[in-house]
Order: sequence, then C-alpha cells, then structure tokens
Amino acid sequence: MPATVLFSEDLYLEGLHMFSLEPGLGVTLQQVSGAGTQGDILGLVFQAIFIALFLFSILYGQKFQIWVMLRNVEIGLHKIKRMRDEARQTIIETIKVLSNKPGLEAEVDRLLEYFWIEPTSLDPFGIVGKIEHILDTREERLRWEIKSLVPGVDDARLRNLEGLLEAGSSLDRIYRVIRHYYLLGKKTMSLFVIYQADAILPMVLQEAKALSAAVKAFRDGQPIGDGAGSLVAARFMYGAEKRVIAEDTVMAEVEVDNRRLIVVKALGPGGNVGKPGEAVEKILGSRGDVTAVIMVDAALKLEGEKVGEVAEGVGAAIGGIGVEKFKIEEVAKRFRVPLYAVAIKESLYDAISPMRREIYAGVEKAVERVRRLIREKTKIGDTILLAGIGNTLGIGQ
Amino acid sequence: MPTRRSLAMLVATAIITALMVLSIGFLVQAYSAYLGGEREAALYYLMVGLMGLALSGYTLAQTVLRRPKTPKSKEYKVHTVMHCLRCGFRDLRPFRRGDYVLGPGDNCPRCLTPMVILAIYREGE
Ligand SMILES: [Zn+2]
Repeated sequence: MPATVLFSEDLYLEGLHMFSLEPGLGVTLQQVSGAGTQGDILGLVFQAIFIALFLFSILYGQKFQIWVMLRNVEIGLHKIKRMRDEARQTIIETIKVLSNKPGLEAEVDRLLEYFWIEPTSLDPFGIVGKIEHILDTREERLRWEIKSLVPGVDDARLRNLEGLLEAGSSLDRIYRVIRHYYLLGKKTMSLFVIYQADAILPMVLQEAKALSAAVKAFRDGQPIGDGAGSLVAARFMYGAEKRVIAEDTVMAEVEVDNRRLIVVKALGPGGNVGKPGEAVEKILGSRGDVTAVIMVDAALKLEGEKVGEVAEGVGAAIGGIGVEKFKIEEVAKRFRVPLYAVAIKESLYDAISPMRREIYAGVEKAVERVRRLIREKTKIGDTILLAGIGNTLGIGQ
Repeated sequence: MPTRRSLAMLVATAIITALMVLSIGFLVQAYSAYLGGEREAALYYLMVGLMGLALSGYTLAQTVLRRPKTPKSKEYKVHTVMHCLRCGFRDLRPFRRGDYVLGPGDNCPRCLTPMVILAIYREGE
C-alpha cells in the first residue's frame, strides 16, 4: 500500500475521532447525511432540494441576471412602442382633420421613416455648407410632401405639421434602435449588449416622454421651452415694424435706452427655428455700425440646477447641428463684433414640452438681463443686434 | 412572445415559492429540534432556514415584484395669460387652440378692448 493512501486514511480516522469529540456536531452531521436515528427523511429531502437550489443559483445566477435585465428592457420597449403608436395616431388624426386624402396612414408612415445622411467628415473643409444643403433639401422635400397631403395649408400650420412629423420620426427611430438592441440581446444572450441597453434605458425613456409631450405641443400650437429665446426677442419686437430678412426669419428695429436695437427672431407663431445665422450675416454685412451681438437661447441645464435660471457669458448661444452657429461665429470674427450670450436653463424634457411657468419667469429675467447688458456694454447711440434663438412655436411677434 | 415569457415567469415564481416554503419548513424544524433539546441541530436549521428565506425574498423582490420605476405620465395644465394694454387688467384661462403669445386675446372685461396674450405656460410637472 502506498504511503500516501495510508497517510490519508490516517487523516480520515483522525477526522472521525475529532468529530466524536464533539457530540453535538456529530448529531448534526448524522442528520445532514440522512443517517439520523430519528429517521428524518423529510429533513433529508429538504436539504437535498436546498443544496440543488443553491447550486442552481451559483451556476445560473448570471443567466438569471441577464434574464432580469432583458425583461426590464422589454418593459421599456413596450412603453416606447406605446408612445410611438400614440404619436403616430396623433399625427394621422391631425392631418385627417385637414385632408381627406386616401392612403393617409401609409403616407404618414413613409414620412416618419424619412432620413437624412450626414456628409462625410473625412475631408471636413466646407462640411457646414454641405450639411446645410442636405438639410435644406430635406426640409423642402418634407414641406412639399405635407403640402401634397394637405393642399392649401397655411404657413404656420405647415410648420407645426413639420414639427409634429419630426418629433414622431424621432420617437420612431428611438423605438427601432431599442428594439434592435433588445432583439440582438435576446438572440445572442450577450451580457454586454443587454447591459448596455438596460443602462441607457432610463435616459431613453425620458427622451421618449419628452418627444411625446412635443407631439402634443405641436398639435395644439403651444409654446415649448426651447422658445424662451424667441420669446425674449418677441418682447423687444412687439409693436415695431417687422420685415422678413431670411427664410422664416424676421427683424425689427427698436429703440432701447437711446440705443438702436435690431431684433431678430424666427417667424411665429408657426413652429419655426428660422435661419438666424443667415440673418446675422446679412445684417452685419450690410451695415457696419453694429457694435455688439447679443444672443438669447435656452440652454440645457445640469441636474441640480434650477429651471429658468438665467446665466450670462460670451459666444454664440445657439444649439442644433451647428450650421447657424458656424455662420454667426464666422461673421462676428470677420467684423470683430463681440458676441454676448444669455442662456435660460432648462432640461431636455422642458425644452420640447409646453413651456413651464418657471421658464416664463426666466424669460422675464432674461429681458431684464438683456437691458442691463445693453446699458453696461454699449454706449448711447450704438447699434446692437439681439438674436432670440429657438423654436417660435406658439409665439408671435 | 408573451406565452413564453409568462411561462418563464411561472417557473421562476414556482422555484422561488418552493424555496420559501422549504425555508419556512426549516424554521419549523429548528423550532421542534429546539423543543426536543437538540440545540445544535436547531441552530443549524435556523441558519439554513434564514438563509433560504433571505435568498428567496431577495430574488422575489428583484424579479417578480419588480417593475421599472417610471414616474406616472406627467399631468399638466396649460394656461393662457392675457394682459390689457389700456387698463393693465390681467386674466388667466385654460389654453385654447389658436392662442399664441403676443397674439390677440379675449376682450378686457373692464374696458372691452381686446387684450394681448402675454404668456402661455404649463403648470405641474
Ligand atoms: Zn382693459
């Protein structure tokens, strides 16, 4: 007999000896192994099942976690789908009131899927112009489609329908992407795919909710939070003579504190953002007496910041893809005109849902801020350009 | 696939319930062992029972009872604020389609001139 076996046998015997020294523990072990003197079969069954479940949770614990996350994503996906379907229904009903064209639903579905392809940035020189060209084509095309669906639609309503379709198509895209990750995760059972979808879900749901609120706002023509900048400009413009300076963009000249103020905003009350870049370019280019440009816009707040807070700074306060921003920065640099920015803070949800009262209060504050800025940064007799940026849905001038 | 999902759900619920029943069984055994004077066995059963109960309770809370936290659909009311430029009267009423900021509002109840819409905003979340 090899020594090792002997050795282990010794250990085994010693072990038994040890157990016999502990009478209480010995009883427990006897029960665990089912050799209890009381014939405790029930206890044996209990323990066997218990151990099996314990092993199951160790071996399949991760699978179980994946399943839980997948289920979570599925619930979120259903919610997004419901929001998308509601938005689609709203769009169809809104157009149905104005038009009795047959095959309306198929047309709306086609427009919801309308996409645009960003130009390549491999050679970035001149990309802004390319983006603008593509977006202009897209807008033109979309308007043409809406006009053919609803012949004789007025301009304001056309813009609102455009906004409605855009919000609906964003919701549709969100739904498709989340569905993609859900199905991909289900197919591959890959922890990383499912984990990512589960991780971004709360933010995506928030955005989807904001978009469904936007759909309602565009249907009813209610001002949205993004219109805060436009509203500030509208306040300065009210009562003055306006003229169109660029597509969907109006300007007016008013007098504030003995200075000449040129005010620019998108043409309301349809859901327009206008072309403020082009307007600023034209105004600065055509008259050399502008000493400052003040831009007012809604800005995305950070969590923890108050809605409607007003902040001041320098630079081109304008969001979007960057075409208008680029133009304004270019022309300001060319004419060496300082750019002042006033921002009204709000969340993404606030920006595209009906304007909150707090944002309206922020608009009042921003009007005062602009007046102070004019008094402090310019001299009597100066000419100042004020651009109110944002979607002017439900805001006239 | 709603049927498959509910089946998986059923199996999970069954397993968790079985575990829970088992754990309670252990606790009962612990009690009877304690009465029978087998204190070590009682301790062992108590430990296993509590562990099983904790495990099943946690799993139940994590899966079956769990619903993603979503705030209720945000309810809000949109108001239109009108201002009389002649006498300074202000009025607030629910938004009506066709209202727009700086557009024409209702007639002023005091001097009967048309008021101007000063603001349209929502209240509530
Ligand atoms: Zn009055």
